[in-house]
Amino acid sequence: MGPTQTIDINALKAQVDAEIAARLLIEADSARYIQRRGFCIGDLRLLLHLDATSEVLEMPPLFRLPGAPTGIKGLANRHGRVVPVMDLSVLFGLQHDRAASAWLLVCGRGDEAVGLVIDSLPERKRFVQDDEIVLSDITHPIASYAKAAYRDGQDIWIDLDTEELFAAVFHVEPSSV
Amino acid sequence: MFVTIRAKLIGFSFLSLLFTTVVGGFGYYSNAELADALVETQGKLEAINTRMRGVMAQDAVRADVLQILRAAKSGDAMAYKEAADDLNEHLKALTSKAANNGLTERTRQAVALVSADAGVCAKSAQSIAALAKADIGGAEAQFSVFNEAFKKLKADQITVNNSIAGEMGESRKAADAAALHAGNTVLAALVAAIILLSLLAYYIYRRIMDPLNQLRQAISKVEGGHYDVRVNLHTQDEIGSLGRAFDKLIDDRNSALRATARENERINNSVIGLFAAMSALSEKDLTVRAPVTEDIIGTLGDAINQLTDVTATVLHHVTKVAGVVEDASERMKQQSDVVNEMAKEEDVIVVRLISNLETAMASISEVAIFARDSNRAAAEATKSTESAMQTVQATLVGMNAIRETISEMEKRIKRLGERSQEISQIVNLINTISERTHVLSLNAAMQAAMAGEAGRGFAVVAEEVQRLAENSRQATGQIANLVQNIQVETNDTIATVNKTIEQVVKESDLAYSAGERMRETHEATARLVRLVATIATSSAEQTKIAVVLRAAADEIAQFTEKTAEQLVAQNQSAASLVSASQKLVGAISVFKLPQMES
Repeated sequence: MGPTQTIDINALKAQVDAEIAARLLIEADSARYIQRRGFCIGDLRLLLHLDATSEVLEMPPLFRLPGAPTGIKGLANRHGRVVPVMDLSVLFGLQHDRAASAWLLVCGRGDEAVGLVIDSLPERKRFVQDDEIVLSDITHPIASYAKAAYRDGQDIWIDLDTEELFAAVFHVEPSSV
Repeated sequence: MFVTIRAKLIGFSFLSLLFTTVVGGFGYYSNAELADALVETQGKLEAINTRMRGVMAQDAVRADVLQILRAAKSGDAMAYKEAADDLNEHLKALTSKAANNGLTERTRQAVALVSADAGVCAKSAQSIAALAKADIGGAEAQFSVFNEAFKKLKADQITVNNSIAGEMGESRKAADAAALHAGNTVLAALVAAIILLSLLAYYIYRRIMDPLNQLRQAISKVEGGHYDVRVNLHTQDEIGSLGRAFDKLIDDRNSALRATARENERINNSVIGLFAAMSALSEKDLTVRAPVTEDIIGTLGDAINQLTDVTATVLHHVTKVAGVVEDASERMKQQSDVVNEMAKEEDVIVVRLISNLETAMASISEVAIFARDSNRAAAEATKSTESAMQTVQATLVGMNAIRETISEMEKRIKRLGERSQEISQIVNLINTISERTHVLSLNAAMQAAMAGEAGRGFAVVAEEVQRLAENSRQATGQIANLVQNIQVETNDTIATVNKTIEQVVKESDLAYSAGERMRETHEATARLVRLVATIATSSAEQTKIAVVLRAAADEIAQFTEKTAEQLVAQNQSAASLVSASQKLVGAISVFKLPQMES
């Protein structure tokens, strides 16, 4: 028989308790902030809910769809599914940043997925409640499809309501989430 | 016919050949007779040979018959058969046709009788052989018949043999007689040919040698001085021609001797006339003329006349020249008086020249001292310029080394710039990897967020990876900025190095120019040194030359004195020359000269 290995049950419990405590601290810290995923289209800064996006990738080849609504740039093939690609610059008269490379941000998943053409990689943005500003102060037409807006220094970040936006563009009833 | 020696010799050769042919013909005839005798003897020998075989067959047949009778009586069939076969063979030989070539008719008849006897014996033997098997008694009775026939055959055979023996003896005698006749014939022809040819050879010998002896005796007499001898040969051959040519040669020689005697007489007369003229000339009378004859002495007299004329002309000229010399001597005497005066003045000038030369020697010595000092100073200047030129050349070498070093540094800096570009490429690659990592972490965070509560832990990890990727991007950005700054500074450094290289090249060119100028200065100094040395050498040589000039001036002074003495002597010589010219004119006047045309 080999030497018996003794397990310190108390030490294990202490380790699990420490991990749970750390996680609770992280969650408590996270609860104090409003976390969004921010990106840019031209000089417009937009925000999406963290779980509203499913993928970001370099701009894939697009297939034009005759008779498509305004703002639909084409269709992209992602993992065997057809994803419509929307260009907000066409809808809201924005100017893309020519120096930056275009990215495709996929919102939603499965058959509900819609791609947005963006100029920068999304980044995690955290705001506090005091950073929020009144939407009526924003004169940009995209504010009609915004849930809220936040100030970060000199920049104004608009939290976009994708369901309303997509419904307005595609003229379909938004599916229940 | 046969008048020449050549024809005689040819005829003799032809006759010798003819006699040889005749002797050969006799020999051929004798040989033919011997051959006929030999053929006849050969035929007789063949007949004897045939007869001998017949005799042997007769005895064999008798023996076979006796053998048959014995075999038949004893009943030995085998022996009987062998005896019968032998009998048949021997009967063929016995009855065969005999050769009769060369035999006489009598012998041929005897041979025919023997053949008939042989036929009888053969028939009797065959009947005995036939009866012996069946009737031995009859056979024995038949044997007595055979025996009688055999005896008759033997008797006739002896007759034939004797006849043939007799014929053989006669044939041998005939052959001996033929051989003796042939030998005698050839010998007689040979003796006759030798006698005839000997007589002919003696005749030819006498025809050649007699005139030759006559000619030899005549030549001996001519050698003894008897030129009136003649050969008088009248033959038409070569020796006759030779004798006639000899007689004509003696005649021509006699004619030549007579002509020579007449020529000698005439020359003697001319020589006597020439001697008379020469006697008159020896009396200093140049007006006499030597006789000019048509012979060789006349040519000599003509030459003497010409010599006399030329001598007279020369003496006329000598008389004139003596007068001229007398006048010239008078003038030379006057001139030497003048030259004597001038020599005295020249003596004064030479003394002055010596004084001036001493002054010039002192000046040249000073110049030589100055040139030696200048030479020393120029040598020091040459050493200085050499040192300076070496320094400049060392500087030039150093500048070249600096230029090479800077060039190497430029290459290294360029390689550094290339390396920084490679670093930029690697940084771009890292940046790309970071960006992709960032995208992946972003997608992972999105997937974790969409997973809800289950993906919360993974979202934290994805967030950390995203942060790390972001940090990597920032770091690579800083590195890219640093590398870009390095490249900019590298380019600035390269530009600076290039400017430095240009400056070094300019400085090198300036140093090279300075070296060239220094070298030219060195060469000019060296030329100056050589020139100064040449001046010093020339000064020394001038000093030596001045000394020599001084000695020469002294010698000139001495020579001037001697010249004055010589001029006095010359004056005296001119006076004596005048006297000698007058004496010469007097001496020439003893000759009696013809009047010369002006």
